[in-house]
Amino acid sequence: MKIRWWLLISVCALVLLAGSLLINRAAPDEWLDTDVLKLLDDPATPSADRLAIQHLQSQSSRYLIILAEGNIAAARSSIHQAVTRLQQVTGISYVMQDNPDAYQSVATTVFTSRYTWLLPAWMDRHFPQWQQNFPDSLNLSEKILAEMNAFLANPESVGLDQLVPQDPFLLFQPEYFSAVSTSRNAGQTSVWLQLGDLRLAGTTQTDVLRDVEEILQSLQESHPQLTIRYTGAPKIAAASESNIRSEVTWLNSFTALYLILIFALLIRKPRIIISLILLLGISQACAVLATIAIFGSVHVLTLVMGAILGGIAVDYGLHLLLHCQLSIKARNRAVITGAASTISGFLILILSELMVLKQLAVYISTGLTCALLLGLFICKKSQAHTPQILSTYPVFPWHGLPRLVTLLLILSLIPAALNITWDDKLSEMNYPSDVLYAEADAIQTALSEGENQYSYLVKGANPVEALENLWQITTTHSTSLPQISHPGQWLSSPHASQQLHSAMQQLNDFPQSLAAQMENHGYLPEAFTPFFEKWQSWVSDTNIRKTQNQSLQNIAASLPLHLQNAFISLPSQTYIMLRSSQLIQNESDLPNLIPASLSQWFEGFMASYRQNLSRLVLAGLLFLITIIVIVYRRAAPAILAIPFLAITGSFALCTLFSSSLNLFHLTGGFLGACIALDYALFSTEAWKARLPVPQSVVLSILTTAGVFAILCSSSIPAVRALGMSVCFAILIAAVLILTSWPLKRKESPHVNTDPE
Amino acid sequence: MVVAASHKVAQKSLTQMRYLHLKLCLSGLLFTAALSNAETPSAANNTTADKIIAQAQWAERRVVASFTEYRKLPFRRSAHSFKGNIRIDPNHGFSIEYISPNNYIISPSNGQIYRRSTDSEWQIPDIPESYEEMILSLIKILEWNPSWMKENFITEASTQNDQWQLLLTPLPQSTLRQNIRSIEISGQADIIKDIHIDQGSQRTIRYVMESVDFPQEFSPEISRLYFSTP
Repeated sequence: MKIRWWLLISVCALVLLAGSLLINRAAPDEWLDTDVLKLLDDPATPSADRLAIQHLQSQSSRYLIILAEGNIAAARSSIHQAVTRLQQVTGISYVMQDNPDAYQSVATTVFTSRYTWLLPAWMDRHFPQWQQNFPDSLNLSEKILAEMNAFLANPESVGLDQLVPQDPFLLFQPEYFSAVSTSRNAGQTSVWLQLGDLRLAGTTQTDVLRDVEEILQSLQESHPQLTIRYTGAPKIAAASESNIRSEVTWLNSFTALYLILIFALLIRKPRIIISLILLLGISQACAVLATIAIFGSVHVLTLVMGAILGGIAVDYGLHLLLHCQLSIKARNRAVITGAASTISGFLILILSELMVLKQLAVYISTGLTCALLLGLFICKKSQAHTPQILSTYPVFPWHGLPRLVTLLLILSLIPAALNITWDDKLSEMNYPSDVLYAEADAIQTALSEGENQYSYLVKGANPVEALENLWQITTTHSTSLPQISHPGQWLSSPHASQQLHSAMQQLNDFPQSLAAQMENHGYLPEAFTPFFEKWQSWVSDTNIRKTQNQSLQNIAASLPLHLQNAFISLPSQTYIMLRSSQLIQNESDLPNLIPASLSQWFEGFMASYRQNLSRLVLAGLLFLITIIVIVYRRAAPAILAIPFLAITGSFALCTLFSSSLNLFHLTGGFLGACIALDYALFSTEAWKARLPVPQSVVLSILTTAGVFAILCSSSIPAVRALGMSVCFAILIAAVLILTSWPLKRKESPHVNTDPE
Repeated sequence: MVVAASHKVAQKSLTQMRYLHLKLCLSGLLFTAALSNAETPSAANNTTADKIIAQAQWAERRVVASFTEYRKLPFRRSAHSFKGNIRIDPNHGFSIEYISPNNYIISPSNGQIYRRSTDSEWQIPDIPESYEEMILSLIKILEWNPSWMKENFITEASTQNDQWQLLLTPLPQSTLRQNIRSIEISGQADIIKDIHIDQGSQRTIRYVMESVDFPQEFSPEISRLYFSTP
């Protein structure tokens, strides 16, 4: 090839690379989604559960938590200064240093409702059988006085003795909270930050994180003995986005360079190469624009998977622009049938529940339609060329490969094909950020929350019902459920509270009995007027359930902002958070329990998404079969055998590389089947014309398999899975086609270079 | 987060209790500091509180003092009493040990409060920062910082022969005013006999000194056991 063509192709490659980088950097942020949850469905009428989880997700995705460990006392003033500086950072709407002062409000609110929420636990402790055998007023009074005497005999009571006249039950004692009390390391402090609406604030996540890091660095420099770390969804998201952007850039660049290299080496016709580049570029641009027009944005994963488009679109270009020995009619029939079936197959994916597949459906079908039309247009305007290198091979060298070998290869895959297992994880779609996740785990562990905390929501029609359901779940399933924690642990069961209230209403002489006992023990009953008034008000309450609901709402409202997710109140449902150190396996047996993490919630649906996709794929394949049977009649079984074997063989090979398959292997398998069908159509046309496998198919195998092999190197497991399954499907189809299997050979093919 | 919330709520009452307990202990320390600083009779005989405070110097000696604490509450006919010991060491700082009815030790160090029972390690109690700041400010009283005392208290003093009395009333702008109405310290010569804290709402705490000793040295074992500063 002349040097000037190399120069031209190199310039094209550079322009393509620069364009790719430029688009990647210059594209507005709102056009490109990287949040994996945006790949999931977005129903018009979301359920209350979905709304609750979305609320939770939107809250938690805006939080950052800073953990400082060491001699906090020595750094107190510097930490305060840092907190003040953090409050001034544009884009940060909430800053709270975690210390007991922050919880004063909720403690006061709980104390205000102490007889409703704390007294049942007191009764459980001192009269375990109270629900069956309620104590009389004298027993109750004696117990109260005994406890009060013991308490005041402790010098530490000085902290709480002011509260005694309000509550001789001493419900404020820490022992009543021992169920949730875990030791907290006072040599640490944490600061919670919430990011506000960054667009309104006129800033970006990157700027906010940079400011936070500067402040923390300054604190670290002034107190080197402190260990300061921070984590949170915004930090992980920012790092992932940056990594994904660079991955998209290099994947697309490598794909483009690879294609240009193949064309340059094998086609050597600059006009054809430039036509192919134009075809690829325009079809990709149309696909992106159509996706943005329909969905408002294009997800980065769709863009990565969009390499599929390049792989197939280039086929049409090759078939239409290269001289392929077939008659124009036969060539067009194969191209149009293949394109129609592939486009239809992908369009069916628009019925999927998964947003990523919907986007993929629009992206691929638009791009392929564009590529087909453009290919036909260019083809008419130009004369087809035969590649110089491939034309020297009248018969592909593997043509003589014994069919028995092929058959044995296929049979060898049967055990693996029978051993396919499916595993559906949403994390497959995330960019792996092991270091960041490890840091988040370490901070969580340091904050005594332990590793692997799973969050769930317990629902009810109102706050009281939700709390009651929480109690039912934790008591009824106490043996089967792993270790859990929830706010209900320091609030009694509403049912028990109602029972106690009824029982206390019957104890008319209790105030008199208690006053008498107080006299006997050296107390001044008149000093306890606040208690007696409050008690009278409580026992005379005629609608204790309403009071309980109101009280729970007050408690929820008094929680600090970053803990308000513990209670979520919607018009139709109330949710209370529950945390578990292990994944709750029998979740479906607990109808009022739902995962609190949106990804965890969707993960529960991943299997159904896959089943849904399987049905769609099946429908798509049936559609393809119908078209092929109509168009090719008797040759149809042999044609359809190729994609069938390609898809099953691909899954079997993928099983050898991955312990289990997922949704993306399935998508890739479907795509592989579409491409294999394309090859099968051309091989059949060639076979019917007693010609060898068209060279455009050989070129296509090289380009498509190469493009998907590049995708196999992606860091994102989903992209890797897709690349692997397509790559294997193409390679299996290639082996079948190039050995003319399962088509029955009529006679040795011969070269016919004259187009019809 | 839920765990943290529940935990914090649970800690609240404990925190309040510890805070006031520490306040109590520091009141004891104040007493001891005053004791250890109970200046020479000539200083105590000064007619103005400023002069008494200004002339007070930090003792360059070790102190062990036993005390009885009387606590008066508005809902009790009689006061509760507690017994304990206070130790001061120029190198190790302060320590207060309750021996009756319960046994545990409090010792501040490097601006931080530490607490332990006789069979446990030193721990930093979970105290709200607002209270902790107040407690740490009380330590400043123990340090006998004249300028700081003037900034926070109205001081009055009276003397008669070798008897003296010092009355500290938190200034209106002082945060100490939330929990302390007044502190009255009385002594004779270089011995403090009585410290009386009026907390308001008919709550008072009174410490009566029973014995004072000035050892030459604290053994390493005593230092390790009673002082958080090694």
